[in-house]
Amino acid sequence: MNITGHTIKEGCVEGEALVLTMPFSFLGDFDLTTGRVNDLHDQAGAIISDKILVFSSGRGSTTGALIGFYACLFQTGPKGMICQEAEPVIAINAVMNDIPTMDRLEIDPMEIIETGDWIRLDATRRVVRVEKQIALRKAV
Amino acid sequence: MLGGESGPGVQKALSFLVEYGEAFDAQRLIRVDSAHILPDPVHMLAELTEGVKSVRTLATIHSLSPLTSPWVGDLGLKEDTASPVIEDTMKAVKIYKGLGCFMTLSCAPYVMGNALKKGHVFSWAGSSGIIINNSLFGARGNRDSGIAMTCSAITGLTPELGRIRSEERYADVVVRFQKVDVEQLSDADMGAIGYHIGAMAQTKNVVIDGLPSTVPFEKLKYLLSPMPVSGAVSLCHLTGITPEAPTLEAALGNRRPEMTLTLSPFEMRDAVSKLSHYTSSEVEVVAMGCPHLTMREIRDIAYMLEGRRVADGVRLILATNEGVSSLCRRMGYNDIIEKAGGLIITDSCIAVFPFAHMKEPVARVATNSARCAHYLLRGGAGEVAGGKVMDTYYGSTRQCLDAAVTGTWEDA
Repeated sequence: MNITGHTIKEGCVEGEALVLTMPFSFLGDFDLTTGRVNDLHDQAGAIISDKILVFSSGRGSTTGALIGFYACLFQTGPKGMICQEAEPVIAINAVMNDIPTMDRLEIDPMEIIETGDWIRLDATRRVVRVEKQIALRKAV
Repeated sequence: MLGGESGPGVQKALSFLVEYGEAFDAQRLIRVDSAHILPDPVHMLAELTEGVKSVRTLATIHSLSPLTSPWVGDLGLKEDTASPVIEDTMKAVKIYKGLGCFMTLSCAPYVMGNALKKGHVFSWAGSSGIIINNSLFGARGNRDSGIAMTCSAITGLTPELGRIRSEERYADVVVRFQKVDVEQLSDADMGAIGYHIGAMAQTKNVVIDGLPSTVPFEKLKYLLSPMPVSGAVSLCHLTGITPEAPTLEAALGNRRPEMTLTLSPFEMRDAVSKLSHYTSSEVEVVAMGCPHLTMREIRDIAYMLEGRRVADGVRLILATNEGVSSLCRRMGYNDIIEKAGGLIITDSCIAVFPFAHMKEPVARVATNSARCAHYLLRGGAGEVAGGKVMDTYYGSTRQCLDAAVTGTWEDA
């Protein structure tokens, strides 16, 4: 399935989706060393590293984009981001750290995408392609 | 300026600001009246400041990790654990100083002169300062982060988006009180209310109806500062108190609200329960000053501590900025607090306190700040920055001081 939307930061990446059911803060919601989501978050224990993060919006301290920078440096950060609607801390994180990011998709990504789905996020062309987990399993 | 005639740094900064603006459909860059900077990664900063002699607006620098401060030894931190990240931060601060950015090293630079009025446009780091500027002072700015503030400071410009635009400053969420004695709310009650509102309102603007106009600034600071921690609120009007909310209708722009929240003692208790988690009532550290303590708070703490003594084995850490600390030292308040066994530190953020770097392990911290409690419970930025998940007690300034003196936490 292809979904069009609005681009925050151009670029094209593919990867596994991790859906976060709570708004996300780069300060406090995961451990920079390991990429592990902390215990007080709904997705406690999940690893954000190399994932396409799907979440409603940003939250928390403006230190977020700086933490995002170190997450890129330590390779514990996400590969791409899809939000219902980005707020400035998430958008700056994306632009500054060159993380392809889209928001305002024509279909709510939180409804359509599930953790484990394979995502091609082509923010340059403003298209998200979703391959459902099940389709992948069938193919194997 | 995009052509590069102002030098490569300014050109890079402008292209970042344009890209940031485009992400939010901004139509133009406008003049910025004030910047407040959290130091950028030093190599990025070197690129951005190439050919730049000074900043083009009033600029101040944010609070830093306690590991950068002169208090490392006094705080019981290991002296040799400053990481490359910390060293880079110090190098960056030196560059900013050279560009004319004031080393306030505080999340509350407004008490030292980076003070805004209605209509001013700002590009600030520090979500507490941002919501205070937007709400209490009526200035206009967004949740800027990363290199956005540096880019605004060296160009003197910022993209016209979000809360800078009049039509995006009206409230969407109305908060009313039910069975709450608004005259008797403590600082911790205020923090709990703010924490609850932030979680409910998320990115939306808020208006709170029904607070008395006599509420002191400090209580409003504790009310507003957790909203961008549990949520991403950057503007919260207070009917009859803040510049853009002479009436509820004015704050709403005569529109219907998207959401109405009723705040009763139940929601306040629920928020407090989310900010506290501990297995033993033996307190090891009491940390206050998130956002940085004001002169009135230091004075009140000195009065409350006079003739008392912090219990053996307990550390009382009070964070403020150089301006407030110097003034309170002149007044004799620092002496009273130090005689009682407390420590006043400057330049430092206690919400990202590197507890993993303590010489003697510490696991239990009390605070009067909902913001700080939230991050203590999550280990700050994690181990890279020396963070550690802490047992956390949340309560009023008075409760925290009592815990410091007795060594035991008592619920209110």
